[in-house]
Amino acid sequence: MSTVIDNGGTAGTSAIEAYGLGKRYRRGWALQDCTFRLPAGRICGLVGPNGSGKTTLMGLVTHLLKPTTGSVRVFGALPGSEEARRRTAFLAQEKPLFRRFTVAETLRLGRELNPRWEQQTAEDIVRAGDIPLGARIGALSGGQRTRVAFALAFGRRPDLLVLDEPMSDLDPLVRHELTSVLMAEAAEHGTTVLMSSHHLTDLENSCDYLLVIASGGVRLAGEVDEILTAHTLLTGARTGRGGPPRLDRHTVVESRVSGRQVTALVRPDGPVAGDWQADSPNLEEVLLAYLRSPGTPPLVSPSAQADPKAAAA
Amino acid sequence: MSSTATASAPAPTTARGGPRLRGLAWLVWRQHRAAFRTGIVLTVLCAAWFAYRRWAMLDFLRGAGWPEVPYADYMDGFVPYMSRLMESATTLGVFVPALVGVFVGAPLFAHDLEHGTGKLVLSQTVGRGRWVATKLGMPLLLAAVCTALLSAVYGWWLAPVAEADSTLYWETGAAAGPVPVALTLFTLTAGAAIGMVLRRTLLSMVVSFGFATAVQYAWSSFWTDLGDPVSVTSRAGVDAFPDIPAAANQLEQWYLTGSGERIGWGSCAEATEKATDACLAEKDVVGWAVDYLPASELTPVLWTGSAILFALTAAVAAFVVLWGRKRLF
Repeated sequence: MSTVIDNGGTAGTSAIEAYGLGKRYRRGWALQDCTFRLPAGRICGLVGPNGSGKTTLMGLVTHLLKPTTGSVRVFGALPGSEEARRRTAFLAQEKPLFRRFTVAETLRLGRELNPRWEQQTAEDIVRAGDIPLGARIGALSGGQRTRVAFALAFGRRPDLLVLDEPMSDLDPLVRHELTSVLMAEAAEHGTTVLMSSHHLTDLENSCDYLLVIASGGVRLAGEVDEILTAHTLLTGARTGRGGPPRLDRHTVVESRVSGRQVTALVRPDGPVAGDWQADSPNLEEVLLAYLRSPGTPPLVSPSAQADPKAAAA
Repeated sequence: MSSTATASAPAPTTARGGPRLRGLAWLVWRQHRAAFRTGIVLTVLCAAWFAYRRWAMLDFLRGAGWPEVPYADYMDGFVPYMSRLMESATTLGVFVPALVGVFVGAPLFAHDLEHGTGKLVLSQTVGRGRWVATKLGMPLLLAAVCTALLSAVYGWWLAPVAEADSTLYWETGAAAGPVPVALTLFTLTAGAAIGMVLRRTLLSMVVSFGFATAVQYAWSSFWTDLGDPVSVTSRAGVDAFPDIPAAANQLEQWYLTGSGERIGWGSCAEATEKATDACLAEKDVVGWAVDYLPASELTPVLWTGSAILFALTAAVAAFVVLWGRKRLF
């Protein structure tokens, strides 16, 4: 039961198309009924509470895992196919690198193991961080190591870059610096990025697309702008014992009462009647409301809707 | 920037005398080069030492009048040379397989799975089947070459005296044939499989050590069973032991009774000679029955055993590749 904002047409290539994607481990389902589409060229934030299956979804997209149910396509190809592997770069959360390798050897790894490799791009990213090519990986700081991992990922000139909490263990300065590197490289090469993060403000600054998943599946998917304009933050005075007046015809994501004041985040269906003060919410407010209210019907914008035929093929 | 993009820059010469490898082979060599180099250096040193010991042994033998005089005449002086041969046989047949299994096999995949570097490699444009096969294949190839070389040099060292003495022939003969190669490849592959399943380096090394020990125990207990033994009997009383060839491996001996029955040779272990004689007479012991492996059986036994080990190795390797393709993450 999902709301379609408007049928604006979903032209363009899909970087990722998932249909009914699920993964079960012995201890239970890690991801269930995940259906969405990520158009090519977007910077997409992947948000969800811990254990909602973000890492699992990324593993499925990058062929580290195989789905239990459903299917996923990367640029129309199976994740395990030569084409999809060549076009996709993945940076795992722990940013694994060989500690005994030098930076130059790490870049050589990228050159040796990928048919498409651009040494200059990779070296430029490393040099911009003042990291000597002869330094051992084990001797680098966390930020420097992440930069080398970025260089290894961008040297491949991927069409899709999947990043699992890339900035999680970095100080704010380094995080800011590496976010700029990421944005600049992605913009220059038109790379599609799927990036999970718990830093909602970071996502607001860098992403133009959003995918929110929770235990039940996809909660929100679509352009950040569309998602924001689809929601209104209402503030009003509490009247009597009941809830906020006359919101029945709208989808109420979350409503909270504090003292005599009621605030509600709604997806309005037509003009809002009643004595409400309407505001535009910011992304963080929308995300928090959806994460707190698992019962809300999902919102999937037209460009994020997966075509069952394309995904199943 | 796109106009000056370089598709791939020439490889910088970082190899420093290492082999010129490409792709996965380069990665596997670079990742495990410390182990590979150690293996190669130890092999060369061991081979040189074997050659030196052969020279020293021949020096002694010529001084003792070998090969004209029989072994019994220079046996006493030969003891230290024989000890070197025996120790080296143990090293080659027991320690090398265990060391390779524990220090090369066990960490091979366990380290990558424990530290996430397996994910790093597999998220490049690399098929996991190819990764697993290359990672397992290169150490196997190197181990095969090194142990085959050592075994050959050892055989060359042993050759002048190989058939002089039964113990020497059978105990050391096992180190000269294909057995060290087969045992090493088996423990190496099994160590890799253990590491892949357990995914923890230290734990895998401990379990691989236990496994290598069990393999050695099983091998030393059962390898002579692979031979086709010859039975001889004598019916000239307990004092006349049947003649068996000098280099034969005596497997078992029994008392032989008048009716042709074989009874344990400890059956009449009495306190006094008189009581023993009475017992022997009572049980109608007329002589001995002995099972032995003739010298000519050594080579077929070693090759049969090695063939079994190679088959097991192939089965475990197939398991590693299958598990690596299906169950790695």
